[in-house]
Amino acid sequence: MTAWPNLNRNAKAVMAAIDEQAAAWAVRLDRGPLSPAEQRELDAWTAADPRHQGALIRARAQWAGLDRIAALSPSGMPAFEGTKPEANRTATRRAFAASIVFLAALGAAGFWFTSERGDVYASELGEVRRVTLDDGSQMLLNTQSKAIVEFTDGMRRVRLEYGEAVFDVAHDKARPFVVTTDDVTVTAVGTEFAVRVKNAGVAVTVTEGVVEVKREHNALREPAQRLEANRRADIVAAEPTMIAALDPATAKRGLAWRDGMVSFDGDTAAAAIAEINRYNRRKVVLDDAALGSKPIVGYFRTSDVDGFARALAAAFDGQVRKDDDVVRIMAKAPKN
Amino acid sequence: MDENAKHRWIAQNILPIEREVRSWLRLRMRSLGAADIDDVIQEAYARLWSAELAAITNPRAYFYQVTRNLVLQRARHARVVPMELMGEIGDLGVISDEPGPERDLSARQELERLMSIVSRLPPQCRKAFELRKFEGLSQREVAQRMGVSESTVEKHLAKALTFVLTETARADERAHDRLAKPQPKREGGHGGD
Repeated sequence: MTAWPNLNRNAKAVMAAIDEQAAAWAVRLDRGPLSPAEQRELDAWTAADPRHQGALIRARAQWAGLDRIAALSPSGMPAFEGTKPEANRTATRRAFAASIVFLAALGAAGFWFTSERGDVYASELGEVRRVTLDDGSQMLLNTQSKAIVEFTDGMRRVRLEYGEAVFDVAHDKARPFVVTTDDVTVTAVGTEFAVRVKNAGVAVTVTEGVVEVKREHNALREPAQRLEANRRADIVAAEPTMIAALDPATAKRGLAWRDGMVSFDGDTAAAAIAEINRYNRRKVVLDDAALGSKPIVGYFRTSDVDGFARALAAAFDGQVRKDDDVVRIMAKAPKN
Repeated sequence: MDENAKHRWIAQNILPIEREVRSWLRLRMRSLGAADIDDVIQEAYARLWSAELAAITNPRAYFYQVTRNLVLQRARHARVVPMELMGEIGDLGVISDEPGPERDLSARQELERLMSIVSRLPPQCRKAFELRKFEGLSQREVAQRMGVSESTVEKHLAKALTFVLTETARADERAHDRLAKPQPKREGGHGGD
């Protein structure tokens, strides 16, 4: 779902044509005054499309601006070649180093210990934790999650006590990879999928391969179901399993947290607030419940409570008030 | 301000940041397509034209502001609220418009970028351009010097300007395509979206 229609196939050609016409007029105007006929033609052109006027202004400004490159190098040869890329590379390296430090700091926050039942991994509020399991499979724990890992010769078992995790499963036909929660058992051989324990029920999203989903307290006696890539199963007690087809972008968007981001595309404001609140101690609260149903588009760092609240308030033409542990979004006080 | 002064003002204050604003739109507003961005940028120039340019103290912030408002308008038509843009705009107040080493550098880089575009023009086209812009000849004088008609000169110059305009608009798209490649986070993993 996109906010507004994207460009059609020939939109680029149209854009290029507008630039070309604008350039022709800019140069024509540079040559000297227009004849009355030319002036009428220009007026007709600018009136024909709302984009034309702006395109002409841009073209004429660019034409005027090109005077300045004469000052840079009267010989017409590019100067200073080869100095900037080095500076850019240094900057990139620095940014990269910074992000590594950030991830390493995150990794230290959770905890791990071995209990009788297996290895216990947990993540703190706002933390994303990556765990490489003994077989090479990857487990990524989202905020406030806990998993117990127990591998035997015949089985790789992970119990997700609470929270959400993505599994990138190493192939091993002899040892199925099984993730259990109170409500459901998900079995995979080699694939990638996410399991999220919600207040009511469980969501299983498959991004690669196939898993088998089996309900535990199965009053409806549903058989185990195969869930393919780009499908999500929503399982709520006493209700039939709902399976939704997702386009790959949507499936991945739900996993933006792996990069420390949350992504909204047409979600309601209420759902977006609930999502950002999963990651932070300070909670966002919407004072006007009526706004909660408005669809929004957005991409935020999971920890950016203030940016998120500010954005939401601005979008609704409201204001932000910060109380102790709550960031409140409310209507603007009437102006005098 | 007369027309020429306005064009110069826009050339000096707005054109150098156009690419930056485009990438800002592209990165922050994932729902905008290339054509949408083009529309917004063109409309922003049209808005600028009717503004009192001399009264604008921070052209950079002003242009961002105009662009943001236009996107919001479009969003209202689509009945979707683009929060990401709003989040980013909040930080704009921090952006200073004071000339510093970095800004000098970027102005210089901008000129170098234009220069490198010009150096890639076909020979006749480039010659006409250099005579007009570097030597300051009128189009008529350029035609005499090159021994061609005025309308041929006009065509060469229009071609040169088109090239500069489209390169500016597309360079950002290409740069973005390179940046947007998901970085491998782990073996066999997916990039974020």
